[in-house]
Amino acid sequence: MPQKIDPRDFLYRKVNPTQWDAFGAKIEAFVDKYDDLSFRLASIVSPMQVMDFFASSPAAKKQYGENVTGKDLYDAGFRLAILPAHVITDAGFAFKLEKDDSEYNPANGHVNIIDGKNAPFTWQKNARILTEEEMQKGVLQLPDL
Amino acid sequence: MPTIEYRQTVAAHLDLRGSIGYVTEAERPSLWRLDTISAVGNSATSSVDIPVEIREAIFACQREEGWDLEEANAVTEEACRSALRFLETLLVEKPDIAMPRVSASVLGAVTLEWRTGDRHLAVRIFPDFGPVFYISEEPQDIRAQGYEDRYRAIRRVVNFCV
Repeated sequence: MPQKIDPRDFLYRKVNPTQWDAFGAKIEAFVDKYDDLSFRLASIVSPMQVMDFFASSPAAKKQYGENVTGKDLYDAGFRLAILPAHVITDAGFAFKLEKDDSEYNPANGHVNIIDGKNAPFTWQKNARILTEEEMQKGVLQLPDL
Repeated sequence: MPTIEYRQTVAAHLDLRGSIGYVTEAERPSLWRLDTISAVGNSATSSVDIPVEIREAIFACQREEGWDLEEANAVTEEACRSALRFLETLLVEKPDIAMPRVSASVLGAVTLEWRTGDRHLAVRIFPDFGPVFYISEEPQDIRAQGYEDRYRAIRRVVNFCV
């Protein structure tokens, strides 16, 4: 059965070094090389699981060593931004459907926003950067979904 | 701290002139004031005063390919110089302009970003002195984006910050 994203859920997005500061995420934090914008669903994965996912990539191992962890990436300047899921549809954007018509990948919480790179300011002003404590604790008091 | 060599700065201005060949004579004078930028020795001593932290932020954007752990293009030193020159030109046009937030783009550019209340504008500066990508958002979710030559991009930022 196709899985729908609850509008009360939250989305995480990896924020690269230089793309955030004390005021929060900068707009380049919400631009990919492709038209669609990639997020992870907070009810499916924890913040550190997202970071660990990227730590397991060949690019991370090449740049930061074979044993790099999500925490290492945090220390290297990577962050996660969090955004309420309803902001996407409120702004008139849609989730890209998986093969089974789900709005996210149940296995890893991956979400794509169709043409999401066209509204970086909208995502930016509704997002905030997770603190280190939130990253480690998994933080969020997610609503009962 | 990174410095700009006078010769490189002049070359940038020449490139800039070349890219605005269709600009009318009436529009030119303010841009031509770039010629008054002076230099002593090899260090940057332009008449514009870019804060050290902004210069450092621009050059901190320099990155190798894949720096985002995915497929990001490299952000080269040339891209950083290009962004710095854009900002210098902007300051000649409007010396009191607010300093932007600076970030690296996965598209291989340096992005300068301004916000005024609910209005937002960012310009993405690529290493070649070619077109600049701009993206803006106004209240009521009015969005605009596209490529334009440097002169028009500079005018856009100046008008935005007025």
